Amino acid sequence: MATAELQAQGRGDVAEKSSFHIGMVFPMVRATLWGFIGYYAAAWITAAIMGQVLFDPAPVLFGYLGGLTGWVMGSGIWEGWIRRGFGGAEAPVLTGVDRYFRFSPDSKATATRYVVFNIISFFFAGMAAMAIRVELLTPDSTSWWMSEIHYNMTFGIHGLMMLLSVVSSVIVAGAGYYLLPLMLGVRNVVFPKLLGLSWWLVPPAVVATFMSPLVGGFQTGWWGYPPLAQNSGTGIILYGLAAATLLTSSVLGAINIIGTMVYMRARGMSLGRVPIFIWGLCAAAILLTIYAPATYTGVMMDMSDLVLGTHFYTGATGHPVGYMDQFWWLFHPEVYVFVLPAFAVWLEILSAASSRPLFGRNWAIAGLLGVVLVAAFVGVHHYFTAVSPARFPIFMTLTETVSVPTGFVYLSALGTMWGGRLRINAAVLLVLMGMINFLVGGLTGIFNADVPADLQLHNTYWVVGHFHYTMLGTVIFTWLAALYWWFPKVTGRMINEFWGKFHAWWFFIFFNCTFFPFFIMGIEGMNRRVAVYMPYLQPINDFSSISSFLLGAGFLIPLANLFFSWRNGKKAPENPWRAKTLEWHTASPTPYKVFPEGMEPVVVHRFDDYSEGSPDPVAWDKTGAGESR
Amino acid sequence: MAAKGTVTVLVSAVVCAAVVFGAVKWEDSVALPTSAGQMVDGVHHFTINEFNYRFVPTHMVWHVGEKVSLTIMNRSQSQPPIAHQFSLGRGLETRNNGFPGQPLAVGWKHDFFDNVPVTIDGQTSPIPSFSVSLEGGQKFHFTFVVPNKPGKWDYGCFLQTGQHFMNGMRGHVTILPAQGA
Repeated sequence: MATAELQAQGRGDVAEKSSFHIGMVFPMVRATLWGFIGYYAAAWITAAIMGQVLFDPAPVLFGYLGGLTGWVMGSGIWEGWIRRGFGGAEAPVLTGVDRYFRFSPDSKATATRYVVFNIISFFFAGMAAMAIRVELLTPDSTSWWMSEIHYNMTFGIHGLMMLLSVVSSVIVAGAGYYLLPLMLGVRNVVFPKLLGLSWWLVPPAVVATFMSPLVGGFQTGWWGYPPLAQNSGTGIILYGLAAATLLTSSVLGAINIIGTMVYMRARGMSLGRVPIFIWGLCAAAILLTIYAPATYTGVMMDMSDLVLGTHFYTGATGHPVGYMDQFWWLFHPEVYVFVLPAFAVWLEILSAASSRPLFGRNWAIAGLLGVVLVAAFVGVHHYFTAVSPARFPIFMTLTETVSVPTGFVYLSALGTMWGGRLRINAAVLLVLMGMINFLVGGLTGIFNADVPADLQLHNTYWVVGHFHYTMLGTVIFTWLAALYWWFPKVTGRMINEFWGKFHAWWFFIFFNCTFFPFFIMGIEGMNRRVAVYMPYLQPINDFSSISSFLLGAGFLIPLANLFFSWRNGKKAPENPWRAKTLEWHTASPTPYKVFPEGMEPVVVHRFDDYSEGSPDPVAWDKTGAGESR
Repeated sequence: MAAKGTVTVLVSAVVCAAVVFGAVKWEDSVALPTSAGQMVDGVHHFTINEFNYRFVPTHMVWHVGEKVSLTIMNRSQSQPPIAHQFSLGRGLETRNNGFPGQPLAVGWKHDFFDNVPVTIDGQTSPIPSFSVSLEGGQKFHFTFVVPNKPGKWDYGCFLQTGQHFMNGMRGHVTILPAQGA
């Protein structure tokens, strides 16, 4: 059967277009209420038993656990999953609009919920960034705006939320969980309920972090290093629990990525034909599976110090540097969890947009996996200035090795475009801008790795500039590119190209005006994480702050674009970008049942062959027909 | 189905409001000392809790000539807990730390307890520059007769180069003329 025929075919018994009514939102409302009931009831009981107050560590710890349980139970996990374990009946799986507002094993609904929540989280963490830049408009403490204490809480919340609830999931979860089964030619991921659970772990952690100032906040930034953690407010409990919850959520996704890629590919989908984006996800998932447990265990040990009175990291027998070790086990490789899927999105988009096979595809895969290989070794550079000079060359060499596999990926992207006729739409423009930002971020990273330069630059705004170029400049640009590129797939409509391109330029210009001065500030001696700085740094800080307000305001453009295009955009053709990968072979918007009962795709050719007269890479066959071959 | 969902949401909303309201009220009235204190046998008892980095209560009203008993409790939440101080006075003393316009808080220019006899464990005597510093979990009790020093007085914790004070660990006492005077 041909693809076009299949796309037109109905899916039979499934209700596709159940219209929305308010009752569908009730599971989410119920989950919220149960979450607050769980938090306050558990905190109250703990405080009453222990003779404490609600903002003491133990009540906050048990409150959070109660709140998480209440929220998860309210989401529909009880009816949809757990009840069966106690001998009850499992609730029927909902296929209409309902599934977006409750626990659902449908990976597409889970991914959509991720995208929406990422946008919400990005908005609030972005407002925290704006608050930081207002504070830095003047060199004094700007006490009419916020105290130094609130400033510290603000950048801690900004950092933790941007990393663990935005860049960690925008591409891996928002794009990844949606495309993972579609690109591999299967109906769902390998553990759909675990994937469904992974989203429901995110909102309570995010709400807890944003509300941590109510119990005293935390002053440590997103690192949470003891012994400062012990003395900086009970909010550190919520920080630790939120970080552990978010990492657990990531691991549930990572298990699905690896499991689906290894065990659930369509017939004919050899590893050599697996799309590069799935390889990027796979690289991120390997990192998470290996290293996340080391880090959330470390954070839990710190919670134990804070609540139970153990001394892993504090007191005469404690070892604060042990926390740093455990923290950076994941949190250095975590930056590759963010950025490797972004690289893979570049390659996926550039290959289709220039209608050329991926240049050096096997080298690109080797690059992605090569970064995985060296990821944790590279992380030792976080102790650069804390070790004896004899170790400097080792740290420098290990850190700089990461540029080799990264180079493979970068060259693959350049080679794919080379000599091609790139069709530049908003998504492709954002990819190109992301590549330029990554180039700046990557080259400035070399100075961080270089011993004489790093002794001067560490802990300054130079470092802040470096990671904003790689995180915001690369991952967020690529996230927007991915949203625009796969928007027709998810909604069946096109985004507005003019506003997409307009925003891309706006974003690129003001991003650079905001963050390039960071490098200069760093060289001029501005320490990171300070509310108060020397007066000679004011003009450059003001320039950066004003640019950042324009950058921040500019995000309303893609928000409006996505919203209006979703409601009223031009109807998209089935394959607007003439891409060959499998997700474009199903109908758009993707039906609940990705392809009809009894049919399945068989991969007969590689996906990136755009030459004249090349065969369709996918044939459709009866399920089970392959068994007899 | 929809009706059942509505009932669940409404009942949950009521329970949620009750639990949140109850917990917060309980904390204010049972778990934490009140600003008003308690009058027992003509002595006005106040309890002051020290947390990281705040006092509860942050405001008290005393009358000249009234016998006041203060119990200071360090309830530092950190593990290991940290020390806190109770120092009552007027006029902030500061020290320059190098950053323009960012002085450190050092202490009070005028100590409230100067020439005020303070009773500790039955011993009564004036103590120069009297202030109370406690390790985590410790409690300290003393009584005195409010001297004729009316107006607004401040208390704060100046430990760790005044950072506790600058973090907001402060409160104030309003001293009114003698009752009935």
